Amino acid sequence: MFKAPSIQASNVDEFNSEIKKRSDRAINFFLIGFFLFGLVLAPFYDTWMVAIGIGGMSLIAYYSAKMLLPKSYLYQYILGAVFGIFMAQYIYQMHGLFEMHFIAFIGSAMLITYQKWKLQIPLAIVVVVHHAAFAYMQYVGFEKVYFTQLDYMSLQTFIIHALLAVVIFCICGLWAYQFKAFTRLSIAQSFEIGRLQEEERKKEQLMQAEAEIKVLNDSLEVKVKERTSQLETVNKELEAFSYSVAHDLRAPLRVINGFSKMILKMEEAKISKISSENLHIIMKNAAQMGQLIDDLLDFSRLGRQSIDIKAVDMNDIVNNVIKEIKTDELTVTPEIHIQDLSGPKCDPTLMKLVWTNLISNAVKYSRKKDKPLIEIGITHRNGSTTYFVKDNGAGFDMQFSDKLFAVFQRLHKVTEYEGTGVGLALAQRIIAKHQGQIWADAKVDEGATFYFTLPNN
Amino acid sequence: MENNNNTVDILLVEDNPYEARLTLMSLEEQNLGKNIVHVDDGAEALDFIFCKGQYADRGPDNNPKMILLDLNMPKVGGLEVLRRIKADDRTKSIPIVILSSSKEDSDLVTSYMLGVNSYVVKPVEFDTFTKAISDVGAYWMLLNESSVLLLLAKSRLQNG
Repeated sequence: MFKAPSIQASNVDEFNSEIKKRSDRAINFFLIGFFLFGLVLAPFYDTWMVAIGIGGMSLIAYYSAKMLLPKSYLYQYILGAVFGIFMAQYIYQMHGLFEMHFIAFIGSAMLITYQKWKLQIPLAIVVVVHHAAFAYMQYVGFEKVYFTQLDYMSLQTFIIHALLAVVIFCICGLWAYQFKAFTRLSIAQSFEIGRLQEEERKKEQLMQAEAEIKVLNDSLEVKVKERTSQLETVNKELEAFSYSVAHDLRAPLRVINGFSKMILKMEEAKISKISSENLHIIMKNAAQMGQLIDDLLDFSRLGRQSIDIKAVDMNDIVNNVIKEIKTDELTVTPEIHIQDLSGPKCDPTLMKLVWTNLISNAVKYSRKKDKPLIEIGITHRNGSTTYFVKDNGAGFDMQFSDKLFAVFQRLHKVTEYEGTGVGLALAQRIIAKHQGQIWADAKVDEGATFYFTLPNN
Repeated sequence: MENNNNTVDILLVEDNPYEARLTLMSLEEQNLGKNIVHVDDGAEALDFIFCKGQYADRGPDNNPKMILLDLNMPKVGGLEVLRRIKADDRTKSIPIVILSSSKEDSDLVTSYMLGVNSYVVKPVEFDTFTKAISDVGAYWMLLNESSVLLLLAKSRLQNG
C-alpha cells in the first residue's frame, strides 16, 4: 500500500474544512427537501401537526446546534439522529408504509459526505430504538401508532429487519471511513507533488544561477588575463625604462666626469684657479647624479624583488653595518649604545639596507655635535617588535614629517648634509614588504628617533 | 711573435666614441695603449674576430689577447658577440671582459652563463673608472698566463 508521507496537520484541517463546507451546503437542500416532503405527505393522512411540528423541531435542533456551537461537530451527530427522526415521521405520516423505512438508508448514504463513520451511530440508535418501540407498541395494540402495514409481525422478522438496517449503516460507515483514508492519501500525494514541483523549480533556479555564475567567472577570467597581460606589458616597459636609465644616463655622466678630470690632469699648469674649481663642481655634480641614478635603480629594483624571510641574528647585522659605515672623515666618532636586538624573522639582506640607512643617517646628522650619541634599541609589544635608532643630532621640524619617507624628498640642504633622498624611501619600502611600519619623532637641533616594527611570526 | 706589425693586444668594442676615448686614455695611462683596435659595433667586432668583411685578410693567427666588450650596442649586442666568440673553438680561449653600465642581475647571469671571463660595471667617477680599466688590463694582459699562444702553436702544428 502507498505509504503516505508525513503531512502537516494544518493542511489536513484546511482540506477538512472544505469537505465540511460543501457537505453542509448539500445537507441544507436535503433537510429542506425532507421538511417539504413531510408537508407534501400531510394532506393525505391529515398529519399537518406532525409534519410541521416534528420536521420543524428537527430543523431547529440541527440549525441551533450548528449556529450556537460553530466549532463543534455536534450538529453533525444531531443530523444523524434527525435523519432517523424524519424516517419515523414519514412512516407515521404514511401509516406504516413499508417503503418509508428506506428513508433511513437515504440519510445513511447522505452522511457519507462528511467522511465520518461515527455519524452513523446516532442514526442507527434512533432507527433501532424507534423500530423496537413502535413495533412493540403496535403489536400490543396502541392506537394511532403506525409502524408497519403488514399483518404479521414476529421477533424473527424484526431481528432480520434490524440486522439488515445495521449492515447498511455499517457499509455506509465503512465508506465514510474509506473516503477519509483516500482523502488523506490524496492530500499527501498532492502535497508530495507540490513539494517535488517546488524542488524541481528550485533546482532549475539553482542551475540557472550556476550558469550565470559560470558566465561571470569566465568573463572575469578573461578580464584578469587581459589585466595581467597589460600589467606584464607595463612591467616590461618599466624594466626596459630602468635598464636604459642605467645604461644611457650613466654613460654621458661618465664622459662628463672623465673629460673634466682629463682636462684637470693634462692642463693643470695652465688652468686658472676658478676654472679648476668649476671643473671640480662639474665632476662633483656628475658623480652626484650618478649616485642618484644608482639609488633610484636600487629603489625600483626593490619593488620587483620578493623577500626571503628567515631567522636572523639582528645583533650581527647591526654590528656589521656599524663596522662598514665610514667614520674616517668624522671629527668626532659617535658613541653608539646597542641593546640586545634579538627579534623576529626577516629578510637579512633587505634588513641590512634598512639599518645601513638609519644608522648612517644618525651618524650623518649628529656629526656636528660635540658629543654625538646614537642609541639603538628594541621594545616588544602586542605581537610585534619595535626597533629604534635615536640620535642627538640636527633633528627636523615634525610638520614636514610626511615628506620624510617620500623619494627624493629631503629636509636638509645638500650643502649641509649630503644625500639623494632615497634612503628612507627605500627603508620604508622594505619595512612595508615585511608588513611593518616605520615612523620618526624629532625636534630641531635636539635629535631624531626613527622607529620601525616587524611582526612576530 | 713573427708578425709584429699586425699584433693586436686589445680589441675594444664600444659604440659610444667618447666612452671609447676615455677607455683608451685610461689604458694609455697604464701603458697598455699600444696595439689596440677599436670597433664601434658588435657586427664589426665579429667581422674582426672571424676575419670577414673589411678584416678578411687579417689572418686568424693573431687574435687579440683580450676583448673589452660593451653590452648595449646597436645591430649586434654585446651578449650576442660574447655568445658567438665563446661558441667557436678557435676563439673561445680569448679572454673577454664586459665593460657595462648595467648591473642588472639578468645581464650578469647571462654573461657568466655564456662564459665571460670578467664583468665590470663602469663607475661614473673617473678615478674609479680608470682604476677599474687599468686593473682589468693589467690582470688579463700582464698577470694572467694566456693560453692564446699555446693554442696558436697547436693550430699551426695541425695545419702543417
